[in-house]
Amino acid sequence: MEANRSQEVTVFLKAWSGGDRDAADRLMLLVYDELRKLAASYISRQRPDFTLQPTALVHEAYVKLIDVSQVDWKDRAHFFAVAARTMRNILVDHARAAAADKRGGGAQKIELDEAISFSDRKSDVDLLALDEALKQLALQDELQSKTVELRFFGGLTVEETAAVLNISPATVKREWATARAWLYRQMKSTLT
Amino acid sequence: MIPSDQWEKVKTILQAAIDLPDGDRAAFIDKESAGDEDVRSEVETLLEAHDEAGTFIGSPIASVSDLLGGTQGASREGQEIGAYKILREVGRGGMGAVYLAERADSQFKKQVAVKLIKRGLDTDEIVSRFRNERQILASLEHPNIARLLDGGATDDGLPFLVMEYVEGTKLTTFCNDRALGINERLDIFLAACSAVAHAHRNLIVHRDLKPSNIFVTADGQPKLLDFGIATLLTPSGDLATRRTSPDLNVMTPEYASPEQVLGEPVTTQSDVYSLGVILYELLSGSRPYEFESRSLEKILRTVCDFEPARPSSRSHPNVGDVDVRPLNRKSLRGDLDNIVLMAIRKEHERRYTSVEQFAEDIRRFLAGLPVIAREDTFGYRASKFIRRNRAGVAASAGIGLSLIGGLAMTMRQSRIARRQRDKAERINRFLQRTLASADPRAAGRDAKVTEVLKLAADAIESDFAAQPDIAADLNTTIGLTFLSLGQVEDAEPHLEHALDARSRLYGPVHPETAVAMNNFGRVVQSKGDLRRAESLFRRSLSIMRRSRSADPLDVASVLGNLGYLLMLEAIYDEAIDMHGEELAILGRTRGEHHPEFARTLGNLANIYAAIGDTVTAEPMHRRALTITRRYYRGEHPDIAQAMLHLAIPIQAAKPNEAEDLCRSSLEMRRRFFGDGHPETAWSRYHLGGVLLRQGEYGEALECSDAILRYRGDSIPEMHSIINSTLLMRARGLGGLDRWSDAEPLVRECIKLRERTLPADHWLIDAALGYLGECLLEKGHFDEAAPLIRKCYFALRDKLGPEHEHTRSAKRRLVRL
Repeated sequence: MEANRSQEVTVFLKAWSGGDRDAADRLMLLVYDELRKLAASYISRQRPDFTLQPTALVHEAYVKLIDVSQVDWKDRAHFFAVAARTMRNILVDHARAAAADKRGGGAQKIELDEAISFSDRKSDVDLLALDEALKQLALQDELQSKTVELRFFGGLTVEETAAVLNISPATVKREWATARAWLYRQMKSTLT
Repeated sequence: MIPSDQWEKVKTILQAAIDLPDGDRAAFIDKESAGDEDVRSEVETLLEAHDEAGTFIGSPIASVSDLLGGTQGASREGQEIGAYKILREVGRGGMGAVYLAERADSQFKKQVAVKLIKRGLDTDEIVSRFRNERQILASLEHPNIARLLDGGATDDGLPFLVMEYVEGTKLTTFCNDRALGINERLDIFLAACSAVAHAHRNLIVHRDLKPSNIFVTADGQPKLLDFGIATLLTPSGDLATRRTSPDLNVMTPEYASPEQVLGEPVTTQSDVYSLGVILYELLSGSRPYEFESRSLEKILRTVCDFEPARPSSRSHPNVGDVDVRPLNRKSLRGDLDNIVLMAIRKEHERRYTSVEQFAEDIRRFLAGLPVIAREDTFGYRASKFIRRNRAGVAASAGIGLSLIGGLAMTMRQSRIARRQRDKAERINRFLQRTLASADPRAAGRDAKVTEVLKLAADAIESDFAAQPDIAADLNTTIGLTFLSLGQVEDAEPHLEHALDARSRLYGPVHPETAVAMNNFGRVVQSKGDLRRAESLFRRSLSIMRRSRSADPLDVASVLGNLGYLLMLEAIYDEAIDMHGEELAILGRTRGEHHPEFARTLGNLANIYAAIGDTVTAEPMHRRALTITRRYYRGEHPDIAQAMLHLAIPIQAAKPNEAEDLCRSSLEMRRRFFGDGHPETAWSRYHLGGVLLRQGEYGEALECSDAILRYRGDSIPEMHSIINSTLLMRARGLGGLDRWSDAEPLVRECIKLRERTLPADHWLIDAALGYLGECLLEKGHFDEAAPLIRKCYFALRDKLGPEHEHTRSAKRRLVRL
C-alpha cells in the first residue's frame, strides 16, 4: 500500500516536472492528505504545550511519500512546492487556533520551533498577517506571492524555486527582493 | 493597491533602483517615474522597506535541509557535489551536514570532508565570500588546523565547502575515554591554542570554537576544524566595524562570548573566550552556563550577566550531554580557577589579551611559576574604570583597549597588502608584550589602563627607532586612547609626535599627515585653543580634498570635528554645511542605518536647535534616535545621547516627553559612565532645565547641586558644563526669589565664559542679560538697564529676532 502510493507520487512528480499541470493537482491532494494526518497525529502525541516542528513534518511526509532513489533534485523541488502550500495552510490554521485560544483563555499553547536552529527569529513573523498580506500580494502579482510561498514556507533555494516556477534564477531573486519589500511595508505595523 | 499596469512600471523601476548605489537612486527614480507621483511614491516607500527589511522572512519557516541527508542519507550518498563523490554522512550540526567524500576525477583517492550548508543562507553571497577569502584561508597551514580546500554551489543551489578530512574524536570525548589527567588535558589544549594563535597571526578569527570543532587524532594531536567558516557564513562583509544582529545560526551559544551574542564586532579575544569555556569544560566536566531555553533573550541574559562559578566548585556535570569526567577538585583550586575565569571574563578588555598570553599562563602553571591571572578583586576595580570609560574607549576608532583585536580586525578587513600585514603583526607583538608585562599588582586602583599605555609609550622609542612609520601608528593609537579616556595632557605628546613624524615621512600635504593633523586638532580643541584647532582642521580638510587617495571616512571625521568646533564658535551656517557634507559621506559609506550616521544627524540637528529652528531639529533627532535604538538593542551610550538631543528642542512644546527622555538618558549614563562623568552631568543639566521651565525650582536646584559636587574633581573647572550649571542654579534661585544668592553665581558664570569662549559669543551676552535681571529684581535699575539692553540687541543680531533666547531677552527689556 505504502509502496504503491510512493510510486504514484513519484510518477505525478515526474509528470509535473515534465509540464503536466493536472499532475500537480492530484499530487497536491495526496501530499496534503498525508501532511494533515501527520500534523494531527503530532498534536495528539504531544503534551498540551507542544511545539510544532514544520521541518519534521515535511520530513516525515517526504520519507513516506517519495521513493528517494527515483527522483532527482528537480522532482524533489516540485514535491517541496506542494509541501510549501500545505505547510502554509497548516501553520496558518494553527496560528489562528492559537490566537483563538488566547482570546478564549484556552490552555493549549502552540509554538513554532526548529529542531536544529535555536533562534526564535522564526516566530517573529505574525503568520496570520503574513498569510493575509500574501493573499493581497497574489491579487497584484501572483508570481511574487508564489515565490514567497516556496521560499518561506517550503525552504526552496533560488534554483529550486526557479525550476518549479519555470523562470530563471535571476528572476526569482528580483521577484523575491521586491516581494519581501512589499510584504515588509504591508506588515510593518505587525512586526515587533 | 495600485492599477496593474502601474504595478509593472513600479516593479521595473524598483528592481533597477535596488541595484544602484544609494546616492544615485533618487535621480534615477525621478527620471523613470516621469512625473507620475503615484509611481514615484510607491517606488520610494518600497525601496525604503527593502532597505529596512533586514532578516524579515529571511529564513524559511519550514527548512527542509534535513531531507537532503540524515537518515535519508541515500539522497546524497553516491551523488557528486562539485568534483567530489559523496561516500557517507559523518556528522551534522547547526550549519548543515558533513559528508565523507573523495575527488571523483582523481586517480589517487584522497578523502575529504564536504560540508553542505543548510538552506536559508544566501548561496551567492557565501560562494562569493569564499572566493574572496580563499587566498587567506589557503595560507593557513598548520599541523593542528584542518585546511579548507574548495567551495562552490550544488546544482540545486546549496553552498558547500570542502575540507581536509580528519579521522579523530571530539576533544572532550577523547580526554574522557582515555581518562586523561589534568596535565595531559592541558598539553592537548595548548596544542590547540598554538593553532589558534597561528591563525590569529594570519589575522583569521575562528568565531565558533567548541569541542566538536576540535578533533583529536589517535596519536593525541588536536586538529581544529572549520577555521574561517563562520566568517564565510556571517552576512555582510565589514565585520570589524559593523554590528549585525547576532547570527545564531553560525555560533554555538554555550561557547559564544558576550560580544558575539550581542552582535558586536568579533575579535581574536572572542576566540580566547571560547577557548576559556572549552578549558572550563575540560577541567570541571561542566560548562559555565546552562540555558533555560534557547530564546535569544535567555541566551543574552545568561551569557552577558551571569557570573560563572569557579571550575573547582563544579563537582558534577550540570548539562546532560557533557561527557567529561570532573577531575580532582583540589588541584583546580587557585591558579587554574583564575586562569579559566580570566579567559571567560565578560568584558573582552579584561580577558587575556591574546591566545598566546593565555597559553603562556597555562605553561607557567605547568612549570610551577606564578601566573598572570588573579582573582577578580583587583580586576574588578579596574573593570569599573573601564566600564565607566567604555563608550569613550569604543569611540576611539574601534581601537581602544582591545588594541590587539582591534588592530588585527582593522587590518584584516581592509585586506591590505602583505607588507601592511607584517606591520600589523609587528605592532601586535609589541602590544602583546607590553600589555603582558604590566603587573596588575603594582598598578592598583583605577590606574591600570593608563599604566599599560604609559608602559607601551615608553617602549615605542626604543623598539621602533628604525621604523618611524610604525612608531607613528602606535603613537596615534595610544594618543587617541588617552584622548578617549579624557586624559588630554597625556594624549598631546603622542599625537603631536605622530603629526611630526608623518610630516617628515610622507611630506606635509599627504593624506596620512592630514589624518594626524585632524587627531592633533582634537587635542588642541580640548585644551581650549579653538582658533588653532580650527586652522588645523581646515588645513587637514583641504589636504584631503586635494588628495585622490583620502579615505572618505577620514574626510567625514574632519568635517565632523570642524562642524562641531564651528558650532562652539557660533558660526552656524558653515557648521551646518560641514555636518551636511559629513552626513552625505556617511550615508554613502556607512549607510543610513549606521549609528555614526545617526550621531552626525544628531549633531546637525543640534545646530538647528541652537539657532531656534526646532521644526527642523525635532524630526531629525527622532530619526537619529530610531536608528540608534534599532541598531543597539538595550542600552548604549549613543541611545542616551540621542534621547537627550531630542529632549532639548522639544522641551517647550512637549515638557513631559522631554522630562522622561532626560531622566532615561541620565539613568543610562549613570550606569555607563558613573555619576561624576561630564556626560552624566549634561543629562542632569538638561533635566534641571526642563524642571526650571515647569517651575520645579527645588528639584532643579538638586540637579545643579549634584553636578557641582564634582566640580574641580572629575569635572574640570573650565569645562563648559560648570559655567552652564552655575547659571542654571542662579535661575533656580531666581525662581525662588532668592536674587541675592543668585547674583554671585551669575558673575562666576560670566567670568568662566569670558575665559573659555570667544569674546563675542552669545552665551556671554545671555549670562549678562540674566545678571541684569538679578540686579533689576534687587532694585539696581541703573546697573541693570544697560546689561538688559545690550543682551537683547546682541542676541537679536547673533541668533535672530525669533530665537527663544532673543524673545525672552525682549520680554525682559519690555519690563524694563
